[in-house]
Amino acid sequence: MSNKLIYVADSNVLVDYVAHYIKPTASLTAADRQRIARIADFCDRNQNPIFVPDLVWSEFLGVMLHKGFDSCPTYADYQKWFRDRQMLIQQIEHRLVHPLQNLTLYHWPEDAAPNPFKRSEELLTDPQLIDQASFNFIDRGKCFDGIDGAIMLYANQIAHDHPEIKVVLYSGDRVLSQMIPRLQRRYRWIANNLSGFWSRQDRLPAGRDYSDLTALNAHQLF
Amino acid sequence: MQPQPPSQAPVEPKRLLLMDDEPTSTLISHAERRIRAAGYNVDLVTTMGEAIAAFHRHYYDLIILDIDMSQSSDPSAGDGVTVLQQLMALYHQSQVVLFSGAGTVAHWFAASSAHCAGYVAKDESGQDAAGAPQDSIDRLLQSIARALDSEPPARRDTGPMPPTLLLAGNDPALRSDVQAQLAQSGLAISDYSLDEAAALSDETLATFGVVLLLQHEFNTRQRTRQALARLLSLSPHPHVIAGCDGRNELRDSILYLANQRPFRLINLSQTNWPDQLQAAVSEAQIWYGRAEIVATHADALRRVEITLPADYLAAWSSEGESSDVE
Repeated sequence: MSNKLIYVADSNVLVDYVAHYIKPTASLTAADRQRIARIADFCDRNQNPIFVPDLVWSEFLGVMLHKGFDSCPTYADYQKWFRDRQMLIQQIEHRLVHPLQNLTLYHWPEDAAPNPFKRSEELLTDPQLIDQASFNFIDRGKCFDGIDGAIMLYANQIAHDHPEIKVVLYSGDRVLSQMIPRLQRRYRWIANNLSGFWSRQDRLPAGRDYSDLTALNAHQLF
Repeated sequence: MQPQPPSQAPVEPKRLLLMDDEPTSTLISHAERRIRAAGYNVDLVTTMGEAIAAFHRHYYDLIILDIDMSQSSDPSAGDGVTVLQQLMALYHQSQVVLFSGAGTVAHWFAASSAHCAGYVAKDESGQDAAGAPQDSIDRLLQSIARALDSEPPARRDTGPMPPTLLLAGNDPALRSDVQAQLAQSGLAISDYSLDEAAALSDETLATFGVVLLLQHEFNTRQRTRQALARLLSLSPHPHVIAGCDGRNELRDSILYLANQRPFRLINLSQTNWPDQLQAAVSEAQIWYGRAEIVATHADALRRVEITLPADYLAAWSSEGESSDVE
């Protein structure tokens, strides 16, 4: 296996990437700003492709298109609100479509299993994987929901498509990060195909140049 | 009791922005009055900075831009075409019409390639389809109505772009040159005269991935214009790139091409036109079947206020983090 990597980005990474280019109405902490700057730097400058599953892109659109809609008292306000969101979506789409950009939209292959959600049920309903005793400290509804299960399947499919390249799931989802070691132990296909899970940006030294991140660097994070 | 006709909701007038650095000139005063009389709401700004600020403050259905803004006390660098390029980088579905008396050859080509919806010269006059005389404000109103009526390019699941290119024009030597330039492009090139290309069926035209209309001078005869209009209406499926010489005396035919909204308009009088052509063909392939999204204008984008989803920000929080649940 080569030292090349493919990152599979989760929707929270896209939200932070967007946050770098806009003026967020919510106040951000210094830690938020630092993380956002690092993620944007990473997305724009690292030398490895970042795959965005079409399902993640759909989730991102759903999230961005719901926020702030109820704060439009007039039709004119709504038009501007909608235009601003379209503007953002276009900016990210440019990065997803243009071959000179790092981001690549990954479509579920037609000849693969018909629906990634189908197999994710296997993960969601596995009592050995998600038992109440281990996860009673978090909101059950947020624990490894359908999207989390499906993104694992996308990572698996991308690994299947690129057997010589290590696949790293890149997400800010804390619950998913806590599930990964258990998933890797329980399912051989995840252990085989997911080289790493990178979620905690704040473990990286500040001021680092992310453009030269290599497989070795990535594995040191786990 | 007589049945009542269904009540009709009032139609919101379209909102337009007009940028011109000489707002008190007779032409602009008349233009503003006639735009209002045509049923549009219009805001007037006199600097490029005000135009960008207004764009961020309100939603406008269409924006009209002057090119030469040297009479304003605006510290912004550039001209109306610079503003067009910024707006297109932010939101390509905005309709932008240029209304200028001072555009140069370079402006005509740059504005067209930045996807302006129309380009009307302030000294332009002529006749409408029925032969009635038209002044430049008539032309502007026509351009506004046409731009507002046009649907944004539909997103179609077109599948992969066919690796084929239709090359059309009436200069055999130029076509031969272009064939040599694009020999390494990997595209199969079919070579036609303009009339032959325009006579192809819709089904045949749809088999091409890119269309190139190149000729040193396109004459202004009705037949030529009909052929150009038919072929240029194909974009974005496939995108159509046009090219001709950039000379002042060819203004009518160049602006005609610009108003047909080619994907790119290339100035064949520039020495680097082969490079521009290669780049345009590459971009046309990338955006095959869809509107081009121009690269970000980051400084302007940072003025956009968006509420971020709090739960996504919270998901990154280190609070309560543990390395593993087991």
